[in-house]
Amino acid sequence: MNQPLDQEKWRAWFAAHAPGLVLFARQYTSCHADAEDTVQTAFMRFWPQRNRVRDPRPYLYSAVRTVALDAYRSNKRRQSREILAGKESGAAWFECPTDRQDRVAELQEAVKSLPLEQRVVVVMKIWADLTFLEIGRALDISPNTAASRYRYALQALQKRLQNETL
Amino acid sequence: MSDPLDQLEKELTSLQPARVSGDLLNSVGRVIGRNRATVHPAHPYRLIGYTAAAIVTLALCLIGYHATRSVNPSRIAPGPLAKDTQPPGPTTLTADLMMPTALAYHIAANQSLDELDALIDQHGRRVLPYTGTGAFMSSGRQAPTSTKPQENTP
Repeated sequence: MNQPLDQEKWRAWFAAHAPGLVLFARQYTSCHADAEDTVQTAFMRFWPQRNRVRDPRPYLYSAVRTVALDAYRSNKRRQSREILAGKESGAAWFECPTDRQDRVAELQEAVKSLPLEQRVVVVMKIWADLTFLEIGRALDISPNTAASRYRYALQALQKRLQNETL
Repeated sequence: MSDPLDQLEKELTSLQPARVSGDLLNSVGRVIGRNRATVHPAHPYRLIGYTAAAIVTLALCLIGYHATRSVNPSRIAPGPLAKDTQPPGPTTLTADLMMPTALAYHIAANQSLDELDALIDQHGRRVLPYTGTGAFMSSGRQAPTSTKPQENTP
C-alpha cells in the first residue's frame, strides 16, 4: 500500500478490515460498542499518519491495542470487574449461519477461554491474516514469541474442543 | 503442525467476524472525507514551536553580533590600538632592550670576537638610558676596552 489511495478506496479498505479490527478490539473491551469506539479512535489517530505508514494493517492493530489499553486503564475498575466476571454484551463475535450456530458458539467459547496474550495472536493471525513478524511488531513481542503463542493457543483449543466432544 | 491442528485452523478461518455497525463506517467515512493530511492537534503546535525557536535564535544572534561590534578592543586588553603609529613607552623599551637574534647570529658567524664585543657594547649603550642602572651587563662584566674607535657612539 505504497500508493496513496483515494477516499473511496480507503472507505472500501476500512470496510473490509473493520470486522477484524473490531474483533481484535473486543479482546480488550467488554462490549461491541466499546470495541467500535476503540477502532474509530484508533483510525482517527492513524489517519493523519497514513502517508508515513508503510503497511496500515499492523499499524492500525497496534493503535487499536494502545487505545483499548488506555481506555481500560481509565475505566479500570468497571471493566476489570466486567471482564473478570465475563459480563459481556450478548453480541456474537462471529457471523452465525443457521446450520452452524452451535459449532460457532462452541468455537467462540473455546477462543474466549484462551489467555488474552494467546487470544490476540490467534485473532491477528487467523482473522486479520497478519504474519508473525507483523504481529510481533504490533504487540511489541518477537515473531518467535508470537508463533509460539499461536501454537500453544491452537493446542489448547484442540484440547478443549476434544474434551467437549467426549 | 499436525492434521487436527490444521483442520482446526481451517475451521477457525472459515468463521467470519461479526459485521460492524453502520455508525462506525459512517464516522470513519467522514474522517476519510475530510482528507486532511493533519488533523492531529500536535502538528500545528509543533510548527508554532519550531517557528518561535527559530525567531528567538535569530534575535539572539543579532543581539550578540551587535554587542560584539560595540566593544572597544582597548577596553578588553591593554595594548596598542590599530590607529597608533608609534607604540607606547613600555613596548618601545622592550623592543630596544632586545637584541635582534637573527642579526646577532649573522654577525657572530662573520665577524671576529672583538667586533662582536663592540657590537654588544653598542647595543648596551643604547639600552643603558632605559635601564638606568649604570651597567649594561648584569653578570658584572666590565665594559670592554676596545682599541677600535666606536662608531655610532651617542
